[in-house]
Amino acid sequence: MHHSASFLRTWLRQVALVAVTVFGLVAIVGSGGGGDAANCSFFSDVCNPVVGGPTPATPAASISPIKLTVQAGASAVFTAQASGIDQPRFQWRRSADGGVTFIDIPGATAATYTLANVQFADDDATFRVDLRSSGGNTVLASSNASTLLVSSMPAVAFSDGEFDPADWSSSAIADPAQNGPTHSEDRGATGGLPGAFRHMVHTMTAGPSSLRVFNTKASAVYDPQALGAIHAIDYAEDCDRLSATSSAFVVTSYPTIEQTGRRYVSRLGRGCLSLWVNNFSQVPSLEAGDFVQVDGPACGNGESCPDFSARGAPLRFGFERRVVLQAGASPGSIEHGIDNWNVNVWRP
Amino acid sequence: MVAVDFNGQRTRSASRWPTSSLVRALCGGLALGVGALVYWTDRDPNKASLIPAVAMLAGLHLFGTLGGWLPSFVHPLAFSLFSAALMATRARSEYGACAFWFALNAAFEIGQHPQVRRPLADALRHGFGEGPVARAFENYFLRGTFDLGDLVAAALGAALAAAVLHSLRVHQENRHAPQR
Repeated sequence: MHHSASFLRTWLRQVALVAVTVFGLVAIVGSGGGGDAANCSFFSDVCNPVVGGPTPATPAASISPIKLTVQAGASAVFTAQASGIDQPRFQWRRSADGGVTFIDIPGATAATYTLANVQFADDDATFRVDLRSSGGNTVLASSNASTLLVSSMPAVAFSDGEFDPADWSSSAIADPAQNGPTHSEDRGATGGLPGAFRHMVHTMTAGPSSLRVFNTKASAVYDPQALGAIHAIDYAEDCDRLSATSSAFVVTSYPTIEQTGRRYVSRLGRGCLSLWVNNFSQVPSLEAGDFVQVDGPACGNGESCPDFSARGAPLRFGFERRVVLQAGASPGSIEHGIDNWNVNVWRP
Repeated sequence: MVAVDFNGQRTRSASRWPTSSLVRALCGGLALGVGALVYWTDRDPNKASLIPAVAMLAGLHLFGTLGGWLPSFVHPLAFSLFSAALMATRARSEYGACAFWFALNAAFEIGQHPQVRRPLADALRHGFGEGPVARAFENYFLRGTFDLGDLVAAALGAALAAAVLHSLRVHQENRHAPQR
């Protein structure tokens, strides 16, 4: 009897020790590394900013997304972020004249603003947020503006997570012209997010050098004459910088369009992380004016390049991977990948 | 009075071991409470998913710059004391617990070093696949920032734990020493 009680106590002590060890381990990593200044949560793919600590002297505000397209009847959600101020007081404002003049939206003082049941009258409305002093109406900072676009019907979606090599083609331009950079593309059967992904290797001459590779999906074709004019395009992908011979490589990714022998690339792109992060690289609500022609026949007088109207020729979508090797860096190569490629075409 | 303690060892009093364990555990709990306060007052509550947000404390910024390293200090301190409360009463075991918790903190911090994190993340991916836990560890190492200050704080935390345990031991030995 006495022996079994002693055994039970020993057993309980060992279980408790294991529990404390597991709890301690979870506490260390769950806190993001104790005093880790990078502010990343063990449980979150995206790092969060620290509240507190030294704050910048100048208050600043920003809102996201920078543009947003939703179907009529849906809700539009904008989020504000503030820095340089401990307890920000937000005031959302709206402009009906393209951002020239703004008026306060009554009651919209939270960090998130939701416009429910969006109507066509809200198309092209512009929003921004002001940071105001806690006691009065002094404007401490104003954010960037964000434009809301409204569509009458669901988006036409193109996506790829399998990357059949037969459906994708690649071609490069060295910019500026250089001798030597090479590229290769294939399909990685595993290691994406999840499973298959498009695997790319860019081999570069000594820095500074850059290589732009256009990847086009043959079956991702939108015909405006059959499906209607394009109001805006949402683009998203996951980009992983897998490995590199040097940290002097910079990889960015851009949405692209091909139309009537001309190639266009978005002015807006996204950098790559050193890991897969689902839905990290998003470029929302691109309009025709957001694309720049890269090659092909010159754009004629009176021609729209690209042409998003209902008279426009079929467009084919893809992405550009732009790799830059910084000045002074030795020749080398970088391996990177794309997964969960998505294009949503919104119509007016 | 002779009794068998929690470790199956003979002690002078049945109440001696549990009381000293309780003191160790209370000290550990106090340290952990201070650590939690850092997240409640000085940090974005979304960052530490295990610590529920307390709205009334958010933004108080009690710890200032020290708050950056305090969790690294508190973890080895608190968990060394918790472990010691549950372990054998031998001094060597207690100091071993301090060394263990410092080593564990240091290993996770070093895993965030720029020259270590990528190969470590690759090894994790190969070893554990792409499940949520493996991805979370990958995130931890790749997105965290190596900070020598965290290593120093962890060493100080473990050292303080050892000092607390030593002083508790001396106090208990004096208390139970034969009276003249």
